[in-house]
Amino acid sequence: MTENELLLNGTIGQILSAVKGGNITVEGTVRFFIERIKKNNLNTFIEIYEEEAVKKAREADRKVAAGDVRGAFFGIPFALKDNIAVKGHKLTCASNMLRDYTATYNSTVYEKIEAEGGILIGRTNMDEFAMGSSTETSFYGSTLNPWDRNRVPGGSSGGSAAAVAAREVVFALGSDTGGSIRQPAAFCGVTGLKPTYGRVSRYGLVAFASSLDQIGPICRSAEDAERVFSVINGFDKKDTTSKEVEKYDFTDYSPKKFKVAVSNDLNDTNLNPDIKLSLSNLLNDIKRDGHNVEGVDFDFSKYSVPVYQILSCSEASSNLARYDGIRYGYRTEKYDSLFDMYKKTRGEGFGEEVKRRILFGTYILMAKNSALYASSFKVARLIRDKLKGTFEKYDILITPTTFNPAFKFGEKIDDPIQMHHSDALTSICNLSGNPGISIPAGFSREGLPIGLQIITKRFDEKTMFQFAKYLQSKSNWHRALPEE
Amino acid sequence: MYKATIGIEVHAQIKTKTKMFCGCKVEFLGKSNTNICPVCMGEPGTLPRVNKRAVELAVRTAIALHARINMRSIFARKNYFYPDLPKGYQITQSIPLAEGGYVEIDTGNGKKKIAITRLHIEEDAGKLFHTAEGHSFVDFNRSGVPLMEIVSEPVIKNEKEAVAYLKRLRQIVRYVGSSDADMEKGQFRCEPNISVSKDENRGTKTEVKNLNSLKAVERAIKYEISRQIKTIDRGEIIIQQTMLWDKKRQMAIPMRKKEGVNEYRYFKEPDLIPLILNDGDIEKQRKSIPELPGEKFDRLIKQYGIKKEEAEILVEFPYIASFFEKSVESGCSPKYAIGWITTDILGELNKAGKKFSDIKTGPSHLAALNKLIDNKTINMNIAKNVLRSIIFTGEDGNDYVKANNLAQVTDENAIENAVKELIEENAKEVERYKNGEEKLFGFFVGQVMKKMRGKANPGVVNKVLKDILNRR
Ligand SMILES: [Zn+2]
Repeated sequence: MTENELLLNGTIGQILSAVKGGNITVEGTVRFFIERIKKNNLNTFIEIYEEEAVKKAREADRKVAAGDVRGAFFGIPFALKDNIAVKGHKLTCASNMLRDYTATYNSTVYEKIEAEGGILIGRTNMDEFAMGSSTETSFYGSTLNPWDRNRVPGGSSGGSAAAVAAREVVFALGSDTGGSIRQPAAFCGVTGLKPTYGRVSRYGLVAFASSLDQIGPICRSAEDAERVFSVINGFDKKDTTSKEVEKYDFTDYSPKKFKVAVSNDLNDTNLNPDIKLSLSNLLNDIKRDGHNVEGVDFDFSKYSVPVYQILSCSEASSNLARYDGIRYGYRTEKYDSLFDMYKKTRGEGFGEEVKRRILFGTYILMAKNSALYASSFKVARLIRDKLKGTFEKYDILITPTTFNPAFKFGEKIDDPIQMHHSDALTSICNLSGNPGISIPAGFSREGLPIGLQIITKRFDEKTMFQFAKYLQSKSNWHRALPEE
Repeated sequence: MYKATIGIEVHAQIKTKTKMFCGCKVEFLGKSNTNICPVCMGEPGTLPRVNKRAVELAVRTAIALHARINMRSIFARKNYFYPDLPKGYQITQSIPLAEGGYVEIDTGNGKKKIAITRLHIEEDAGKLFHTAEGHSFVDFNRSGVPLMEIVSEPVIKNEKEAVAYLKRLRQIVRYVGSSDADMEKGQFRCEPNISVSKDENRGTKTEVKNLNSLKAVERAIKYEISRQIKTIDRGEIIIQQTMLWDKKRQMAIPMRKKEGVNEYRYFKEPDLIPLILNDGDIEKQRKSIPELPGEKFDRLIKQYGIKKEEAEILVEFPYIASFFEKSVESGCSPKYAIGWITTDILGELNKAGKKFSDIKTGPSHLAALNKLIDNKTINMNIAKNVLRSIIFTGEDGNDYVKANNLAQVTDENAIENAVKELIEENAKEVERYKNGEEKLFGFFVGQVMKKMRGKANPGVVNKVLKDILNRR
């Protein structure tokens, strides 16, 4: 493998070995990716920390020279979605509201990756406050899909997914509330994991919907995603919703026969025919390998969208109440009373989609609508029970990640209902707490990536990674690179 | 005939070193915005974590209130906008830590149990300051300080019961160590809701805030009951509203309505898991609950035969109770001890503007004085004078009596001389006494005592005086 090939398509493990062996320098690696970001000009990053990254890279190179190489991500360049706090750096959530806000503390995930020697390259673009499925709601403008610059990269972690797809960084973290890691991963042809709720600390992740949000990795392969997940998972006393389960460790792939369930959504008439074809072919391959594949009657995706909207917007309306212009963030210039200041600050600081969701959530939480809120919880519970039942019989549940490949800019931005339907297949996992991963599974006739979603039992990321690594061991979809 | 119905919400500050959901110090009057961190400032991405000590103290309180403790309670958000509320919501509880229970009070007319609705944990907001120039500042030191909200059922009938309830409740939280409950420091905030009615239906209620002392609570309730009655008698209706007590004008003023204050959009706090308790946690607290104020009140009366008002003082001030009980243990009679403490010591402290901890005499001093009375060295009046003189010096009572030559005179000859002198000087009065004005006897006793600088044995004075007068 040439240095170029290594940096473009190597795994974290391979790059790490090259760094350790002195075959490549960390500074060279960091500069390689930063140059790509600038050259590609996909608006993937809101800010690049060039000076700081190069400085850290030089320190790392000195350590290599001194034979002091430690950490799972030693010298590996990575990026964070701009809703994950790093002390002293801006944390904008791609919103006018926070464009001047600097984080005063570190997120737990950042500290964990930093402790392993990862080098932060910058913060990536996203839908404002993670609300959106196209990165079009960003205050900083849309990110372009590296496979087709006229199309969206998906969202809300569109910057992170596009950056990994365009090989502008080795890996990135995103956050997933209804599909915000998996949907852009599918649109950009990369691997994106939403871990089991409670498995990764949310401390330092700017909350959108606290009971659904999870931080997860967006990577070149399932193997890399597992490496990153192994580092960032674990109980954190700063996040009491994180679970005290055994810390996850990377496990090598060992072949086994899986019992695979396939959701009914594969037969949905709304499913793009190219996606249907790709997934059907893939399923046939799996069968041919001797795995047990059965269709299951599972079409809760019908209910997942409204329930997801109700629960996520309700929590968002409360989580975003803190942006009031008093302590930090945007404050309007002229006002004649406290409440006038609130109204103008929030009216000017937030974008349309964020305001739409705050208003909807506020309405839902009003006492007179409590029945609606309560019944949404019940449906979420039903989805969770149904999944639990499924995993009593099967190891794996497969669904398409999305009904369609990446859409064109402007196609859905004025149609919130259509846009919200992008979450139909992914939000199930957020409502139930189950882990879900999207891996590349082919291309549409227009050359757009297609995503396959793998869901497993809660806290059973092990089976998920084993299956994903099995699929990636026999296909090269995840190695395909967009034209430059 | 109107009947008043009163329920009271109390916010007691839980006595912890750190805040409810972060590690910041709890400090009264600290420098503004020094005890703050990203969590209690509501910075983006921060999460709350529960202060275990605050939960333990709330459990202790619930036990002392005889409440039913929920093994699983749920935190919830109360949403509203205000500059002193950093997150735009207050974390409180939807399923409270405890429900039911009661506080027993003495109405002066028998005992009454004031039923408790619930006790839950919540966080305090910051503090707003307004300057004369029209600027407003916020101090977030108080933001996130742990509180217990204790809500009574509307079963209180008048201001006297309300004060008795609050006094007992305040004693309870202090006894179990869950709150210092200093009203002036805002550590025990009382918000009564008051309604009046002529029949069984409850009238429209109003809530009164800004009550910084029990006196204010008493006056505000009295004021509000009478205002409501007058309003109804004028044929007007009572408006459901919150009033602010104006201490200067001694009246309750309707509060300016905050926008959007009615729709709090409560929902389960998704950043916190349910608060789960187990029997072990509760038993551990139950074992270390001290004697409670109501029990102490009953016991003091029964054990020492003291009056209710005296027992009430001892219950309110446990250190005085302890002083009292130690005095009795050292050999002082309860009757003397309670009198000396409540009248002489407290009186003297009051006069000098000093605190109980300033006194230098101990329980043994009281026992010693008692002995001097018993062996007739001094009489009660001298004893009181001695006590008042040695309070702040801690001098030994015996020494003081000797040094000041205060031992009482029982020598009948000396007393006879004084009596004779008196009779000579007061011939007219003696004449009147002889003619049946017997109440003059007391005057003669007083005069003899005066002549003997109070040191005469009153028994001997009586005897000698009677003998001599009768002989004449
Ligand atoms: Zn704090």
